[in-house]
Amino acid sequence: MGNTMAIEAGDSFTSSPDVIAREVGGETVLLDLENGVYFGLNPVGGRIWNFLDGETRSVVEITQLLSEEYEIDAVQAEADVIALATDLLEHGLIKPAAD
Amino acid sequence: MAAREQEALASTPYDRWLTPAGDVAAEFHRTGVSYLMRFPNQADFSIAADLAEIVCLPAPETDEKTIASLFANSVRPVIGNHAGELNLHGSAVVIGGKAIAIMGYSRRGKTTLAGALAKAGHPFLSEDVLALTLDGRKYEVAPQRPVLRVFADTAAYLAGQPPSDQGEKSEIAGSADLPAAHHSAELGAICLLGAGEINTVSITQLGPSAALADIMQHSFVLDVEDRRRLSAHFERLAALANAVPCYQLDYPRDFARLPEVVAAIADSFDGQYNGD
Repeated sequence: MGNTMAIEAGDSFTSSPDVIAREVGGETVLLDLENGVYFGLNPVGGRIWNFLDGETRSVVEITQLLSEEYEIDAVQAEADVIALATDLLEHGLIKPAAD
Repeated sequence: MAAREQEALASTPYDRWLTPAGDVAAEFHRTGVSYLMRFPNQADFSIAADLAEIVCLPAPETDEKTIASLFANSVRPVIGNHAGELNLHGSAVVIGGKAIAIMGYSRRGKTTLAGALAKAGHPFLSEDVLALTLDGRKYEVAPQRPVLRVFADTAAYLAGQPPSDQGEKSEIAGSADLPAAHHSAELGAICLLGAGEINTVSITQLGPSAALADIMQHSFVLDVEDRRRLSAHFERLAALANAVPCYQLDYPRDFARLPEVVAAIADSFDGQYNGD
């Protein structure tokens, strides 16, 4: 934990290799095997996780995928993606893509 | 099994269990190709990495009952989970033909509640370990040693028994007044105990995701650095949370209120299983 950075639309991330995800009761739960951190995601958060699981994607890409799939406003989708990415990054569950 | 003083170990523990007061209940070390579980001032258990051999090295003052209890309630479930079993920390009783598991942190009253339910005619299956097996889509809870290990106040409440001179807890055997179940029962529900900072009896169903977060706290893991096994264990816990209804159970920790708590639990679960 402790990664704090202001995330911008062009930033890219990928899931941490230490994290496993399972669907439980319609939600996605994450467990960081490195430190035991447990994290629950709602269905939209779970979908965002799926976009990042084993893939490197930018906020722009995820926003586009999300707004298409859920037919939601792109501005709101980007805000949601940035908020979740900030949370996941702070908990060490995703990592910034290597330059 | 030969008694010997516990010497300081050269290794740093890779994991520890702490009591609610923050004291070390157990330490986990690696010693060559073995694991070593140390229960401070009680016993060391050396466990071969392939689980083929377990050697107990008790401290000189440790009696056989304590060793048997450490093995049954801590070492055995840890080894079982390492080998792919599903053992969790908790007690269980049978209500309406189904096992009701009671899980919670140490000193939250799992055994006291199981004893109070048994006293009201709902036999106890286990006081400290939930040994679960998956039978098709159902989980079975296996009976454990038919004894309750309790502190003096609970012993007095359940059996009018005076405090034991040996250790903090005394053992109360199952009896006609405090029946023990001798056969496995299908797991009907998991109750996760709250902290007791409440003045009423509260039984609230939890979503599987929230339940899983809580259940994970009551698991037995030998090697927290073995990611393959940890991942498989998490998979088993997630399947359990998906399959079995889980409830947050809380009530005031007051012996005078226990009959009310028992009645509320029996009403909730006996009614469900008997279709009342």
